[in-house]
Amino acid sequence: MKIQTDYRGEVEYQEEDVIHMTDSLYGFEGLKKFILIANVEPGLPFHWLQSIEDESLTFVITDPFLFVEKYDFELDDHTVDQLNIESVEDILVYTTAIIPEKVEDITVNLKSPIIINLKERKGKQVILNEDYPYKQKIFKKGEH
Amino acid sequence: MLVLSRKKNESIIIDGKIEIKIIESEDGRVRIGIEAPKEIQIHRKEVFDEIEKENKASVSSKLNLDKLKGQALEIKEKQEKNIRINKK
Repeated sequence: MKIQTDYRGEVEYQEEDVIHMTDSLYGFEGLKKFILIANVEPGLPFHWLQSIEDESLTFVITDPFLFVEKYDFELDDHTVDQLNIESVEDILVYTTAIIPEKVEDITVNLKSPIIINLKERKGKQVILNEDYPYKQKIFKKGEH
Repeated sequence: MLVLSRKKNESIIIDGKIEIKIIESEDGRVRIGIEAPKEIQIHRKEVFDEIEKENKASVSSKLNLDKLKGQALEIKEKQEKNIRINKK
């Protein structure tokens, strides 16, 4: 299968690449099927979470553990059930990222990460009970 | 919108399983207690609004990713995932 993207042109994927969200991401009701499009640029760990139902819908995501010193939380039982999580080893954690014109103002949303159970290819954007910010700056160099 | 009047310690029940109780009402501020099954997500509406805003801004920045090229990002060594789940 193929999808047209405005950042990497045509991208091919297989049915087994599809991640099924158990709930829609907030603000985008009804869209639950996504693929991960990795950015292969070295040293740039930002990727795309691409809807296959609406090609204009693409989130920028990153691995928060690459930027945040202490990010630890407990997943609620309902999410663990929904995603059939058996072990923490099976899950990927991404956070949405915002890259503004002034790139050093880049932020990630630590309050509601996207949890993906790779084994089951199921995902969900959760809201953590822990007190993390919606906008965490991650750019340290050249801070003004 | 359905509008109901309730006094302190009175409740409403939604769908036979969610109870919303008025705990206290003072100076235009109402404290409510909610009892619901664990699969029901309960948050202040502002929380959803904030997340929606962040999600939408993330979508609008999808073309800006290439601007990060050549930027000196301070990336940490891959850390241990510190996530807890309750194993049954």
